[in-house]
Amino acid sequence: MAFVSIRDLRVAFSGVPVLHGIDLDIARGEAVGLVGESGCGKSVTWLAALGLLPGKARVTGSVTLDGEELIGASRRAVEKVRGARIAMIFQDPSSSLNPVHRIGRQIGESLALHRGLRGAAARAEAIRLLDMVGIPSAAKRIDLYPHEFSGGQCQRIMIAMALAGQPDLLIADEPTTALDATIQAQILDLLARLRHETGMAMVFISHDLGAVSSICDRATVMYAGRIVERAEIGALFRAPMHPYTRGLFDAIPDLDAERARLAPIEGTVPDPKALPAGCAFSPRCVRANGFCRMEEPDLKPQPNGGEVACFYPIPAPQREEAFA
Amino acid sequence: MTPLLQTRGLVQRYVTGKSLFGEADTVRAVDGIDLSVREGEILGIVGESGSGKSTLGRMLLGLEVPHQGEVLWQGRPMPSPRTAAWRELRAQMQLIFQDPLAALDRRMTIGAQIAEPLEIHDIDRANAADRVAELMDRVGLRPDQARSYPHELSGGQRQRVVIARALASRPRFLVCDEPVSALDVSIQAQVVNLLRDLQERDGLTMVFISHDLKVVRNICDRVAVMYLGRVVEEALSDRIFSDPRHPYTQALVSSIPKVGQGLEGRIILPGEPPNPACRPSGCAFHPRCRAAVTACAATEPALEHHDGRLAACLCLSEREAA
Repeated sequence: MAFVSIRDLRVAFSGVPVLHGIDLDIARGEAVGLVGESGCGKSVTWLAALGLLPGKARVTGSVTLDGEELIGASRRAVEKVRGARIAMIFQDPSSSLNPVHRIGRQIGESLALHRGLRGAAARAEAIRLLDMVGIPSAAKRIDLYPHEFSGGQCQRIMIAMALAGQPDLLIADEPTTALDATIQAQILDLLARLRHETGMAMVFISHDLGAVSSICDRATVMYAGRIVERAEIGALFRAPMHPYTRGLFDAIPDLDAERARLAPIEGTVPDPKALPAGCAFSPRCVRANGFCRMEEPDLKPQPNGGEVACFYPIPAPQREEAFA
Repeated sequence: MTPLLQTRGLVQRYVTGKSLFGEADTVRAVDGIDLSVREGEILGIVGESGSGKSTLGRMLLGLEVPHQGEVLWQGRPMPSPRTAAWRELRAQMQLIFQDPLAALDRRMTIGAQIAEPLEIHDIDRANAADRVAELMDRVGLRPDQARSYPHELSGGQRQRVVIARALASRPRFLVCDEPVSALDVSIQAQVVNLLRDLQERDGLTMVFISHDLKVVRNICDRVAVMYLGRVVEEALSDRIFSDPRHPYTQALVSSIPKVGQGLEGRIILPGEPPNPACRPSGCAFHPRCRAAVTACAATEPALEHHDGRLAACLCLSEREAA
């Protein structure tokens, strides 16, 4: 049985549905990438699962952790999971840290809450965690305030806080997006190393396909609140089958190819209040026909082991040609 | 041929941490930059936060007065800011920012905002409506969108509005400061293509400031890499990305996550970009450099020609001398 299992998760904000039934399984220790553009629901999925959405959000469906249901569970039950078994880090570390408290105290809070550590024991553990995430001279810097650290170091501190509860699953929501290129490389390296050392599972939410491919085992692509494709990293990146996935790859400039015009996906992401009929991607899709604009495709298993929600997925021969 | 725009020994410094008693710190955000931009070319400026790339962009437009050095427009010094001559020149040079929502007025329609520069610079006032329609068509906006407000448009469309407005005064030169960083991948490609069209069709000259190396590689003809206020390497775009020579450029290029490559073979730089307020001695990059030798802490390398590029690295100079 999967460690975390999401079934038909739906979210609506003030009556407008933004998540249209997500099924997702995370096994122990695996790293899953969640890819898509802004507004596709990749963050909302996890905020809903952890009960972090505001009151106006209506959440239905099921999220189980080792068989225990989280949706509709009591606040105490969810709080036992949040931070302790599933931790989350966000894009902007400086807005997630409290500017008026020393970082040692902020990490100590997690340690007291999730592991009952206090005083000298908590301090020693906080130093060990800071050391583990690569903050130099941690023992001295534990008493500094967040503004005394750079953006990359604040993200390391956030990761240390997330690790304080010894979670089985870390949700990293665009953890490197706000960081400089060389720091981004450091944080990706750190996440890969921590996963290796602790054996925790990881969900890596990002719009950066390169970053996802470098640290995940498999990836799920979302568009307008639905999963449109998922597969093992290798299969997905060698031969994307959904026209949207393929479009995302084509839109990224290639470092080694000619400096030619880019191939954008025309149009824009649909407004959740006015979703097109049929497949939500059909107005932007070069392969779509009248049928796509009437019927909605289901996520169907594919010979490569993945799943695709498309009536006319990109067939194999054409894909090989494109990658030759 | 005189370059369209040229900088000579450009320095900008800011005074920070001024207290009643202590000495005030001066930060040299830009520390001696010589660049030239030829007519019709796109010059990329690459660097991490704090490398001084945005400050440089603002000085190129005369929005900030350099502490030392000068900016030459067609070989002549830039007039001082807020003078009549400067205003006239400003019609020929425009700036495009990262965040289009912040650059637009939320209470004005798109059409009115695109027309505004026409009023300010007193161009085509009689035919303003036609000119706005023409500009909107050029950046790929529908005519009916002239009546929309910024919040009714998507991020990519807003950036098109900002570009249309920048083009209204028929500029010859654009400074684009992270113009696509806030946009989604699929939309980013649309805007990059639009900028490329402007260069190819209208011969627009641009300075393209970005930390997104893939986009820079795609759109720029020539690239200058900045580290702590100085240019450390400058070369043609193809050359600098296929064969970077400065150890910093090498690390930058290798840090770009490539699809299907994993984490192997990348150069992970230790440490963080240093604070410009306490610049390391000698070569500013030496504390993070894997090729650094003792001399790097003492001697500042000059930007010199090496094998078809400019680079500032002692090790490169020594290897060639040997």
